[in-house]
Amino acid sequence: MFSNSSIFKKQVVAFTGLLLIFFIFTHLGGNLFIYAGPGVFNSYAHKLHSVGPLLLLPRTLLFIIFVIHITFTCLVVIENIKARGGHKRYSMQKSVGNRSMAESIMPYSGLYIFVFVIFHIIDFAFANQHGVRSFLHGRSYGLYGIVFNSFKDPVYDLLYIFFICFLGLHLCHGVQSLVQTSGFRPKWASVIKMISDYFALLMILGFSSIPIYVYILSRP
Amino acid sequence: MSKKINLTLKVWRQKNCKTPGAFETYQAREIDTAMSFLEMLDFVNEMLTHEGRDPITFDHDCREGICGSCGAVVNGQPHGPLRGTTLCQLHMRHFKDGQTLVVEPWRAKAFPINKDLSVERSSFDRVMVAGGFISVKTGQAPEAHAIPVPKEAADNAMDAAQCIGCGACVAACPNGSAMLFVGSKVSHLNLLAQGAPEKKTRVLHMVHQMDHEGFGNCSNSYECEAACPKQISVSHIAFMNKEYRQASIP
Amino acid sequence: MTLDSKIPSGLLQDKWTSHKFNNKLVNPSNRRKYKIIVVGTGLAGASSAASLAEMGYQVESFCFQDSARRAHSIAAQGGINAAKNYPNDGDSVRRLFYDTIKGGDFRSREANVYRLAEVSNNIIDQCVAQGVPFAREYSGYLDNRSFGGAQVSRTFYARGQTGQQLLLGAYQALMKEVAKNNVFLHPRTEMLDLVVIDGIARGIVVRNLLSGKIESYSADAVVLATGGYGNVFYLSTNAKGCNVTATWRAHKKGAFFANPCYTQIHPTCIPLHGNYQSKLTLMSESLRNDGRVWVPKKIKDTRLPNEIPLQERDYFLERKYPAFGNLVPRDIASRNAKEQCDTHHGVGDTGMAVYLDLKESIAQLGKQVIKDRYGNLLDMYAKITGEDPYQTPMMIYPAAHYTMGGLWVDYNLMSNLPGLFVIGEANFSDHGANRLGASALMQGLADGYFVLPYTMANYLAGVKPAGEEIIHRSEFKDAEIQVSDKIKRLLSVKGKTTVDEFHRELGHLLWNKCGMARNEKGLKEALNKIPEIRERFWKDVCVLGSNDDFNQALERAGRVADFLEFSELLCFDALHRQESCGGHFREEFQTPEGEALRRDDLFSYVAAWQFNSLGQSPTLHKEELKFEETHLAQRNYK
Repeated sequence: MFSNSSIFKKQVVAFTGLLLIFFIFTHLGGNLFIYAGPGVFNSYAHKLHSVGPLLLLPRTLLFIIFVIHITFTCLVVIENIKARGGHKRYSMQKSVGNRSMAESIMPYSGLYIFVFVIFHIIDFAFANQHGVRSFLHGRSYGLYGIVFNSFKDPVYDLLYIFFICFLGLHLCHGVQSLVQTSGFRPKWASVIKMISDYFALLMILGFSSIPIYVYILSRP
Repeated sequence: MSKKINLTLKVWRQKNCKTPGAFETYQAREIDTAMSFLEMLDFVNEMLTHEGRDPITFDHDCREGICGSCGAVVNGQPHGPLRGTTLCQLHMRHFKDGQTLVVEPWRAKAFPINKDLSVERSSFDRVMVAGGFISVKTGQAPEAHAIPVPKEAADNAMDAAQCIGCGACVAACPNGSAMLFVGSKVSHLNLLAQGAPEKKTRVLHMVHQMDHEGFGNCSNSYECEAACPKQISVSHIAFMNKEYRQASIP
Repeated sequence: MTLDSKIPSGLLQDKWTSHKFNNKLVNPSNRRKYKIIVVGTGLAGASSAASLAEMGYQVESFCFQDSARRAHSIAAQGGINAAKNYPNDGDSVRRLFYDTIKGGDFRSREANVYRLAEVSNNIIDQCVAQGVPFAREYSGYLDNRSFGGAQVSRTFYARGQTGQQLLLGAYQALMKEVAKNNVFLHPRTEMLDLVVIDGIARGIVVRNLLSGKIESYSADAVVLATGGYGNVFYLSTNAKGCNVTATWRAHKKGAFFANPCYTQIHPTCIPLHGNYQSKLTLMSESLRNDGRVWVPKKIKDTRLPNEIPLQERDYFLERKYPAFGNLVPRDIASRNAKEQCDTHHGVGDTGMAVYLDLKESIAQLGKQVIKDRYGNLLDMYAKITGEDPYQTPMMIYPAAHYTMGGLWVDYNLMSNLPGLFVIGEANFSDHGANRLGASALMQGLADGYFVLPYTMANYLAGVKPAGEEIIHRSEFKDAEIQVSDKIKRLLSVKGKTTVDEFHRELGHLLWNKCGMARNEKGLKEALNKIPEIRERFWKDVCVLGSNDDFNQALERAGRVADFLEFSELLCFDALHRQESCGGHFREEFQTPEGEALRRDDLFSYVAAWQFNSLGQSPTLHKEELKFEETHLAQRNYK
């Protein structure tokens, strides 16, 4: 009776969101190995792959979490559209004052992230580790090479950073929102809002630094 | 000191929930700035009546900001531009001479339009019926001092209990959600020792009814808090979320 | 016919207890067979509907608002009295009783008032248990404050919204019974007639305000909890929807109307500022605890308040009533404010206001304390007037606020028509000629929670359940036709003057001739003028639209039509009562100091009026008031 309730759905979105945040955080940690050079970076990638079938479990879990996050969000969004009562609700739509840009574009930033993540997985995770794209100066550098080759392209970099900014926006509302939705310590609201903003900024800076670094490095 | 201003009003006119509505434009001349918004509407209605045109229907009663009857979206903002103020307490000195005001009813699936600016808010009553009470019968009550309530809890409960049930939160919410209304009632009753025995069923049943009525989900935009004439904090929504989480885990 | 108040015999303090014991009871298994209609969902209506439903009766609850939670009890600000004596300052049931009798200028029934004081403590218990968030001290125990006219701190409060919180408590209790299907709610439904069959109240005729549909409901008892008639003055602190229709139409069906001339004018309201004004806003008189009322000594002084030095200010209440100062009862405070304005000491644009100054309290206690106590009131004042009350003194003026008069009821709260009960402000019973601050909430809840449920059982135990068939009696059809005809008449006039214009004209007339001070000449003028306005109303009123629709002008037209009839009775009663007491001040009857002069030898009775026909004088029935426990004294607040 209650498992289908609005709050339950939102708490599911919040909880899966939290897990995804953990993933993003570790993902960034892994990515930052790039600064240590191809050896360390590739051995990190290699170690990850060497667990073999064991990696399948976290990957499947991650996939399920991702799907749940999206499915429940879709359910919530559909209900919200219905509840609003009409597509163009007020002839003069105006924020009363509290709504942030990050909040108002949540479903869109989410959609954009979804599309990009698929592309990203195909682009990096499923790429042939020793294929043409991994070649630097005539020899394969594995995943490092693929990353390096991709980020050499300024257009690719801009698209990537653009995506990261969306991810940041998604996170800066998402983090504080998940705290509110799970009903954690209402009194800390302003602190949590601050943490949320800084966390998002950190993620943006962390992820964006890599293409910039590679781009600068690749310049003759 | 008050002065006179002229306004152009674009008012939503709709016969009932079955027929479509449309805006009509009226010129409101010589409006005294000491008038309240509803007095301005009265004034326009008198003018319309003298012209043989149907006056604008709008809910109102106490006109001192406490009964929760009145409300309309003025220029995209529920209860108009002044924070913490109901429409009946919004005075015309906050508008400029020559300004155009777009006046619309609350819009949400759970608030069908009765006529013009009047909407049906019985969904709120049904949410209350679902559990917005403490089941004490007349005569059962113990001596008032039998259960002391810490001042902080009593004050928090009072903050939440101030809700006047006007529905501005729903009107302002981009998702037509009633979480602030329901959250403040859950907060009010669950914070008090007297409400503790029923706290789990209360939150579960009220949320269930809220969903059933077709209110949307909270996306934490906090527009409700900004539109609330009693400035009830969204922390009461967080509190309800917590109560709900704790109640739904057996 | 003689009026039997059915006051039980015995000692005053034992009357209610022994009456409860002597009352007949209805077997729990039989209660479901009885249906009770409760009209109105304010404190009295909601609390009684909930309590009766809890006992097992079937209850149908009606209100004209869109939700039961919006009744005007919600607007009461200050607090609710009870004789708990938590502050240990000498309060007791007896003292609350005495204060209420004295405050009512010895024009109320001792037995009723004693009962009110007796059950006052149960109300607080009940409300706390319902989750009413009364103000508390750091200990976790309830806080009390002193309130207009009382020398003890016996008022419980929830910030400045006590009425709201108590009403929500009662509303929630009602919702609890709705959930159990013991109460059936009829919001946006206005009672337009009482159906009386063989002299017994058997049901009501209502109009659905959204669809215009006229319907009848039958019951074994009808409870009117429809509030007061303060809106007869057009401008009052009542909600716009408050009206006399339910009680007036019951009166026309035979119920006696008692003491309509007892109208209370509240001293601390925000002054009038223009012709378009739709209502007056009350500022809780708790402000008088910390505010000092003054006017400039100089006539027509146009200086700003802060420019007037202390020695040129007249703190007239403190000067005239040193013992009570700014806390004198409402009627005295109001009349003194009027007197100051009449003698051109008034302030503001219109000269119809006096200052209420918080400056000294702010200096003494700090702004924060004042803000904690009155924050929302002061915000409201600032919103309405655009002035900051923390900086400049507030301006206040009296406004019609509460009506002590109402339908006559006996000790059981039943009118002279068997089966018709009247509770809360709608009846006349407990406040005499003047109501003390924080007593209205007390009376409404006392009637609803703790009196009516007992007396109702006593009545129902003596009658057989009416059953569903009674609705087919011709009296219902006749009443429906009458109601429909009246609506058709209103719509068919198609005149040139709006309903509000008539209401304003009537209100203006009554405020001037039958307001704070009345005299024979003025009342006779009003009595001549009212039928003339009424005649014009039925020839020239403009009500657009149709009946089968949501038509607010039509609703108002019906109510104003009733005010136009009722106001005549109001003036008639005021003319007949040749004395001054409480809210009724006749200029011919005052002491040399200008105080109300009661004439106990001639007027120590309740004037219950019987309706004859329009244009014909009503018949007076007297219920003599006997004072056995209290000594009839001229009120003296000096």
